[in-house]
Amino acid sequence: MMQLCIARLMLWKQHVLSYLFWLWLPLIGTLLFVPFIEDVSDEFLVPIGIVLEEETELAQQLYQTIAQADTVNVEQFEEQEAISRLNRNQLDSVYLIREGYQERIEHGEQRYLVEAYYTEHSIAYPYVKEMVTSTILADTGKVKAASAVVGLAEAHQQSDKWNSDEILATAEQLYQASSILSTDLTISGEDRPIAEHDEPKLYWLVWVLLSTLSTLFLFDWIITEKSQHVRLRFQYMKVSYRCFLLNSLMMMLIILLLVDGLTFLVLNVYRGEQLSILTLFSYRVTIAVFSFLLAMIWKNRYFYQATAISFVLWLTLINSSFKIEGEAYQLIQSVMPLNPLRAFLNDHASWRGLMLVVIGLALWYAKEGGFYARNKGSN
Amino acid sequence: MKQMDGFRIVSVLIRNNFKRLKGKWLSLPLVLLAPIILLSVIGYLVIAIVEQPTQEPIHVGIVNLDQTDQTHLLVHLMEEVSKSIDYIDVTSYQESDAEAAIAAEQLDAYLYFPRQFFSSLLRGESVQLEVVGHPNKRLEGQLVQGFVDNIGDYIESAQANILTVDYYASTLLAGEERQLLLFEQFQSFFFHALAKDQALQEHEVQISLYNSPLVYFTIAIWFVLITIWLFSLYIILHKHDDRRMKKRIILYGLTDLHEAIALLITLLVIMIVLAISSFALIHYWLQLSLATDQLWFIALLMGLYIFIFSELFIVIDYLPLSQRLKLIIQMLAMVGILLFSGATIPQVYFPMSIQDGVGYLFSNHVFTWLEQIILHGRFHAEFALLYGYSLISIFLISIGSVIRGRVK
Repeated sequence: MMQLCIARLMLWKQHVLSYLFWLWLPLIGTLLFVPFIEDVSDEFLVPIGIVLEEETELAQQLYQTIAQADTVNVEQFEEQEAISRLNRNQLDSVYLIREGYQERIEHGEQRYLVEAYYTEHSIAYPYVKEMVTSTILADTGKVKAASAVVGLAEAHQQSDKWNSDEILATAEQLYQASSILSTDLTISGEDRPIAEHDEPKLYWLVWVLLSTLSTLFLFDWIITEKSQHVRLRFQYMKVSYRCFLLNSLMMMLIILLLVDGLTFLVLNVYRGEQLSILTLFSYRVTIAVFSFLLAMIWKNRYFYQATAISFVLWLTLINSSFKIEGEAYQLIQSVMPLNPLRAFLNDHASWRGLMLVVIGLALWYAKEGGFYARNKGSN
Repeated sequence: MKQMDGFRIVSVLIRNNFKRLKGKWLSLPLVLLAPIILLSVIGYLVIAIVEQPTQEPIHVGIVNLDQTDQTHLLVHLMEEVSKSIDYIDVTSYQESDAEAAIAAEQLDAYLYFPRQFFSSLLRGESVQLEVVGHPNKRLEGQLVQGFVDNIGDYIESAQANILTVDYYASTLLAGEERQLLLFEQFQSFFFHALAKDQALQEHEVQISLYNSPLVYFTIAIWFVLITIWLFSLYIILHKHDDRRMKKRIILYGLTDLHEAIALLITLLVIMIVLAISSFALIHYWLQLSLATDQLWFIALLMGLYIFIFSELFIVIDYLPLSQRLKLIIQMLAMVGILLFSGATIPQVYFPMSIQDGVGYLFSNHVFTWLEQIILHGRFHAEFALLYGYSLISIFLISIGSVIRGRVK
């Protein structure tokens, strides 16, 4: 047994630098990448234009609230300029606040307070529209409340008891303190409500993608050695080649688990992104055995690497929906049962995946035994 | 004579490339089809998000445990609102009936208004609405939750206003009269919230020849597809280093430049066939009406795009790095080229800081002009930048292959 380990280490020693690189890439890459991704994705904004025809308090307030939203980039234009920019597809949509906005709200009008212009290419329009209308709704609601109170006071012949500024301030306070109406989804016959999706774990997501890539790469020595006729020499030894490979797999797994242990400490403690150790363990064993088996099937190292990269690119693609929130996110989650990383990202250990690869490994072991017996026989 | 040899070597290599592709007759269709499947899955997702399901409406029951006038009104309103929405159908139920209806599959989900619902709202306490879904219809349950969340937003926005009125009314009114006022206010604010979509007067401005984004999306997906095809073909045709073979080949006077030229020509020929046939399909399907001149512009743009892209990849392969690293660099290059081309994320949404610089990226340049020609019907495209890039990369390949020849 000891000899097998030494033989494996000697084979690995030739490429020690490259192994070290791929072993540590997931952790170091994650720590470097994530702040970068966060910076960049914050800069992708929806450009919208606002035309203010009046400088009243309510119009300003509307402009300020929209400008504070962190998904849009608001600029103020003259009407002509805004429309021409919209026509050149430089703005997603344009909102026109006409003269008399505040006055009309104070008169209790609700229809057509703001004009919106959009084009057939305004992908973000439904979203921005929703935000603008709820801002208007909040503003008009407060004014409506104030006028109801003033009306009430007048009905009781105390018309100067409160002024509307004071009422608006109270309304604003109550808005800030307003309770949150939340909803819970339970499935009939089950006790626990379905957990709302947690904050997507960006660090673990990047880590798991990089780690899948590097694990796949770390196992490509299997293909190289296949063509080097290492196997032939084993015919003259006591141990079989499949034992040697299995032994190597275990060694690689132990090394990977050691590195994972450190990763776990860094990301869980230092970065505060919680993940259970069972999840990590089941992922690690699954991906390592999967890579091992995949490398067994492939004959050409270059195509194996290209497959590995395409696989990871596909995973990145179907998992990069973390920017989408709410309903759409859940929809994606439910039509994506094929996403192999779903269990990991939901912090569940995926026993099914683990079972599959272990069965695969057993099948390979049996088949390899057959090969061995055949060759012994023919020699 | 030497010139002649060069031509012969390149033509032998090209023939060899095609032979290798023939040998991969099984995996080649797979490689070409895989991205189409992948892109249609993503397209399906986008459509699923943008458009609500249109088939059977979801049947939702409401169980009202609160039994106050206000919640009765609310239930009634929800029934009314749901009539105007195609995908949801709301009916009120008794608690025991609702559970039975779920079991009998008459309902997909039901919703509780808890006891004390309205009075806790008035006291400003937080309230939880519970949605119970059918075990086999989790997706529907989630859609209902979204619908209820939406109603919840209406209620929430009304709540603060009612509290404001109540705050002042409490000094003037008492008992029965105050309750009545609050109920009136509740109704009025609820209707106010329901009417929020009327606050905007919407105008749609048509800026392209087609009044739906379908053409844009199709062209964008086509562009991405061409890029992925090109990348896959490059990987398949790429010569992985085989030292013994190399030595033998050098004896015949073959250089890296010959290989690069042969690879470029092979890729161009195959990609042009693929691009033309796929574009013909799109042209037929979307019933575009493009003039011959415009088609020539598109062909030249795509030809140059394929040319520059392949050259870039050959140059990356000349770098003295390990195979894996080169593959990763190429993959990242492809992702970057696609990400900033405007075909994956429309250019309007790019950060301000790169808006200007990104136009110098060849993929962005090509896609912008494709848009201008196909969507805006222009009879013009600029090629100077693309010619420049082609020349620079031809130069780089020549230098690179000479250096590589020396090192060997």
